[in-house]
Amino acid sequence: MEGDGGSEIKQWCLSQVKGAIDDDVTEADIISAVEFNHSGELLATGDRGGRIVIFQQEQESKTLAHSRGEYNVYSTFQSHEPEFDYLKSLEIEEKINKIRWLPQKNAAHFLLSTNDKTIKLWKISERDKRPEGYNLKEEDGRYKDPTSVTTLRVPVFQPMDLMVEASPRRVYANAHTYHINSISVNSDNETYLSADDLRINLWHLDFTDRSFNIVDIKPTNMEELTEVITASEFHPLQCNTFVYGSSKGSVRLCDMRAAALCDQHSKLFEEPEDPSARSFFSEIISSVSDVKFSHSGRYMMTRDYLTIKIWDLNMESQPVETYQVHEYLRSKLCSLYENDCIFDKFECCWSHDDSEVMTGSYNNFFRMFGRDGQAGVTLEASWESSSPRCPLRPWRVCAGSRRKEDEIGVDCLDFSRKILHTSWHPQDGIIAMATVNNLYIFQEKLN
Amino acid sequence: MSQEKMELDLDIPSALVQSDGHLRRSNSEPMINGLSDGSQVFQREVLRSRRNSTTLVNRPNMVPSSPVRVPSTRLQRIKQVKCLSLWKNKYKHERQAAMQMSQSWEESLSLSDNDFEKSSSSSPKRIDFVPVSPAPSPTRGIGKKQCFSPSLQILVSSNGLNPSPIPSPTRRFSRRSQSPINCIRPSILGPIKRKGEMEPESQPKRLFQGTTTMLSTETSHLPELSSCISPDLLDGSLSSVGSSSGSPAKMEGVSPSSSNSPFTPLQDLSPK
Repeated sequence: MEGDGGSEIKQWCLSQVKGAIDDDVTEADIISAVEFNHSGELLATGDRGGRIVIFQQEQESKTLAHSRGEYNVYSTFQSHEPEFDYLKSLEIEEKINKIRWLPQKNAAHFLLSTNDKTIKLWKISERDKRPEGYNLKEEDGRYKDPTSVTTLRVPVFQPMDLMVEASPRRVYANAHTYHINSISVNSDNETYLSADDLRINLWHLDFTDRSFNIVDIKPTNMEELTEVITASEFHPLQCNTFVYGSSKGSVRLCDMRAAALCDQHSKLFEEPEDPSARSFFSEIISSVSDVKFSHSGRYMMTRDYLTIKIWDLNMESQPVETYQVHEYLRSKLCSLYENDCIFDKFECCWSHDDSEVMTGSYNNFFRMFGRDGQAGVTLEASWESSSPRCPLRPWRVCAGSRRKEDEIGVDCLDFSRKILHTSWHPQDGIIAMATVNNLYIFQEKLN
Repeated sequence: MSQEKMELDLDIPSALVQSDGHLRRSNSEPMINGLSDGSQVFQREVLRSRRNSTTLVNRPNMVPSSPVRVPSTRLQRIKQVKCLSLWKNKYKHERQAAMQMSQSWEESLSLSDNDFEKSSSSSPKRIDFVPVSPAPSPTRGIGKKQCFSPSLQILVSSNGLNPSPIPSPTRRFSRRSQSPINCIRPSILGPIKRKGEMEPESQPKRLFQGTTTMLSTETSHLPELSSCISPDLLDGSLSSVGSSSGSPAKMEGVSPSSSNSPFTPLQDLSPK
């Protein structure tokens, strides 16, 4: 195996696959967001049709030893609908861009979902009882003939099949001119931020008619625009700190205590560019597609097109760790620019103990890196070639167009099959990721 | 004269759309939010001094954010005139706004003099804007529950009796709003998807990008990409398909999928 001792590389097994089998994918079924909730019991996915499907983990299986519960559909609802901006004659897509869960405070679950323009707060609650025995209504809801009622009775609650209700509790609209790319719930559990290409707004969960603008990088003259905001997140522990990444590869950390408008960053994380490596596409591939704080709050991970970088928040000059995700694509940047794949925005995620990081790639590959200096492993999300409880075999990508067992040439990679959205269970060794229209769930093999 | 009129048309704010309540802004100075870019400059400075910087939707800028193919000369003309008369417009609009504001102030001030004294010295007065242009409220559907039965794996109505399918999203419209990254001026060394250079090669790409006509009802892919290579204004703009849109827009009114939840019908492919 790769790596030199230290901690072992964990083995991963395919646990579940959800979605349609056939290659002919309807547009609306393409998954655009994947997110575990804070306990890991629920897994939410959003798709381009504006729908959200929530899976719930079964209680620990008693029959299968060493196996975590499976995820089954718990709730599904239409979160966003296509809209039309009449003034600009533009369509607003219903595609779910991001889902973020709120920490659970009572029996109900809350999540924020957003499309390009509107954020919604959804309450997901269970109902397993209903009143029966009304005086004026039949059981099916029809009203009784009042003259036929001769006695009075008190309706009682009877158990019924579990029903999961999703109701929109808040709609936060009309605060973004440009497309929303990120939302992030604050650790104070009262506020959250939403970021579009040029602005970041701070909302209070209870108020939908106002939000504070805390970052505005729109230049007075749009022709001077050189970079846009690509991702943003609140610090997991400090409620005054947030970061945002830009299309130029820099990440800015802002402290809301310093000023009401955080246009001036408190820290700027930017790796100086290697002049010898500069190319035509340097700026595009340096664009930060995702930024995630570690659970500890000490580190921050950024994903650009070819690498993952881990930053210590105390050091702005350079990352402390850099992992090559698919360096073999560096020589292919020209054709990736031609087919627009160079603009793909990959997500990345931390393991529950911050010891590993994971991100997606092309050909339905995903990459796992242990942070203790290992080279990283390439695994494939494929239901055809994986069997249950059998650890995934690592792949190698070589030059050219060879293809043999466990090795594939870079020219054979399928760039239409990409894993952009990934999520790691917050407490356990379970990862979920979306290929074009399938949801894959992998579990760490327990020894 | 027609130019003047055109500017005003463009300057009508879409910002003041109404959502489930009035959009609020705490500001004691008469100021129109987002009428033109000039006013935006002014507004930024004012907002910096305010503790509460409520945001409203600001007007997009000189460069059109729609992928509508506008003849480039007309666009350039708009832009030039806008640049030159930026300040002029700003003050003109603010004068109009001031008149409107002063009328509403007079109404409220006529209640009692005490109120006036109090409000001028204390925190900024809130002004509720009446939306200038009606827009579809995105809050439709709020309060409507959607109920799902995990055991039956179907959607049910909230009284638990009849299944109510999720209305499948239908696409009726052709143009999708655009990210401003298409308007970025690239660095000298950066790659440029430019109309002039790409013209010969762009032809085969059009199959994937869709047509560049205004009525792109037939296309199914990336209308905004075509916009970034059309007007000369966006000369040298980067195309960033990935950042602004992941999904091509489907043009026909056919609903993409009538299945309510893609995961429920059988399709558990999990290895057993």
